[in-house]
Amino acid sequence: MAQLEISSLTKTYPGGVTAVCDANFSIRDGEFIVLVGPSGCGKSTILRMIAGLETITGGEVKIDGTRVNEQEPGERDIAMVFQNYALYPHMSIFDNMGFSLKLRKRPKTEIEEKVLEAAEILNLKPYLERSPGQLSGGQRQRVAMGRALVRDAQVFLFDEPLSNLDAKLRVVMRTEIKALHQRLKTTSVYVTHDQIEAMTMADRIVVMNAGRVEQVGAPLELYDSPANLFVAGFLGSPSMNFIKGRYQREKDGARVVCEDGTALPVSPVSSAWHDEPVVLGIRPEHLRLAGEGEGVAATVDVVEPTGANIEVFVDLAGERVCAVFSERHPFRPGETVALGWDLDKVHLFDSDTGKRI
Amino acid sequence: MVENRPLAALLTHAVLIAGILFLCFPVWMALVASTHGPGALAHAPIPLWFGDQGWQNYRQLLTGGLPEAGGVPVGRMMVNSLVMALGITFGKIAVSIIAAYAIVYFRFPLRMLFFWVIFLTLMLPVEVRILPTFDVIVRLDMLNSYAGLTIPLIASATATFLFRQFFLTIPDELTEAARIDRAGPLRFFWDILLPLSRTNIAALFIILFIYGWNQYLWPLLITTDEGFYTVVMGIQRMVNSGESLPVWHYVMGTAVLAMIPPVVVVVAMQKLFVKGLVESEK
Repeated sequence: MAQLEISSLTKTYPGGVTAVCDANFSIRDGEFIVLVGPSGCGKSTILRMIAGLETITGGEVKIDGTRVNEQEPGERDIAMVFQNYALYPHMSIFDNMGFSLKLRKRPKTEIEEKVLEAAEILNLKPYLERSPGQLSGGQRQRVAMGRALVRDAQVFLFDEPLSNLDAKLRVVMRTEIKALHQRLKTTSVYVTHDQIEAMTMADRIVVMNAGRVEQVGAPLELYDSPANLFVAGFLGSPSMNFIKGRYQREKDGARVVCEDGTALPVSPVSSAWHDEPVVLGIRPEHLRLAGEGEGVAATVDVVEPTGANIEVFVDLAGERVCAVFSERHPFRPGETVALGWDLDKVHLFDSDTGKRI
Repeated sequence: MVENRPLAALLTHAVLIAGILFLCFPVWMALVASTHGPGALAHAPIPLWFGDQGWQNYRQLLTGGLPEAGGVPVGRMMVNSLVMALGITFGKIAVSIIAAYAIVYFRFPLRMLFFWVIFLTLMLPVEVRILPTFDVIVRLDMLNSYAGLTIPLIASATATFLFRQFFLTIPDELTEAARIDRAGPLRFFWDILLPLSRTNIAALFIILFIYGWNQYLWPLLITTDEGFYTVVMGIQRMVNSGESLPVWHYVMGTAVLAMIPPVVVVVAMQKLFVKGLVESEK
């Protein structure tokens, strides 16, 4: 186990493309960090630089205080789980898991002990003599994790390990990985494009976009107070609603006035602000039906019951807005409803910089 | 086609059986002819069933040697052929798999140039470069030796290219996983690449063994000592044995013997061979 330090890490490819730009964050001992972002945001590149599979063109990676930029992947004492498992197809499951120990010239009995121990944890015991081709996707994924486990590595790296699994299995494996981490407490870095995986698994999340780190923090911290429009829109499903308008200060509060004149109540921010263009953000689950004579009028567009919830898409001030209700209101398309919200659930963002106000 | 039409089925079978008979007839003739005495084949009608001389003919061929073929027993020629064919096969596979490994997995200056140079030599068959090669072999004093028979034929652009294409299909993650597992270049080659190439090696083995076994022009050029004659040359020598009539029963017997090793190799490795040709690695 170890702590990891990423300081002003940069990756520029020979062609001049910058995949990662000045990434800074540190990972505490035993922490489960998730790097999340849309595809091509550089999250995998960071992971591969930590692993040593990609050369570092700027900044440094420190494992337990030691700079590892120049070390070979095999010297860094890390273990990695790949998206397509990368099992050696010609070796049995036992040999796959024991290969790294064999190369480290450990005695046979120790290898056997370690592999059996990992197989026990991952429920792989009946399959040790099979070859990877005879296993299902979920089992292969477990073997890939077993290969990391036997090593007692200081850091585990996961590169989108669940992307090749079907939806149901993904949820199962997600829980398994989290349970495994709670048990072993090995420092882990996990890359995914799936924000639900990020929210559910992480101790802390690093949200990335276009090669830059947008925000680092605990899942709920990011969810409740996103630093900018990107983070706000990326985390949460269905995602946050954004409504453009101008911020207007009034004597008894504040409001955002949309282009068509609809006034949306918000809580006042610093007094200097008045008549500035802003983006108002409100999560679908924070919208509620307002009582008589209150709230903002909206027209129901589409109703999507999911069983647990009802997702309603409404037309509010010319924008399509999603609202989620757990009560079963009988909405009908075309109907007009009044929507309200608690003022402290509203996020305001600067419409030029996208930063939180 | 899953249609069931008796006439079509009959016709298909008739064509197939005719084809098989047509292909097998010369082999049958060789087998039959090798069991008759010298006289029986000299005039019509040629016998179509086995004679009684088979045992003596084959014993004479394998041990006694024929004056028509320089007096070397066919057994000796077959050993020569085998040494040459196996030498070429193993040499070609070993050299080309290493060359392909270097080209695919290592970044060195002029890498692509080397690849293209190797690739270009595909266009030059043995016959084109035979005289300069012969000259080199003479200067190296390698006439009448197994080294002279095999080494010039070992470099193989085709095999290098095939291995390269196969290596390119191996996912990068596998290499990366091996690096994280602390496998050095030699380990990776030995423990991962080589076992994965098994079926490709088997397919190449068959093709190259037959290529080596059937070499005619090159051994004809560089061997003058009868002790190094290969069996394919031997047959040719027996047919053109000067003014006397060709000894057809011996010629056919030698041909039958010469057929055996390639058949053995194909049958023994058939399963792997088909797998290697068909299977696209997952």
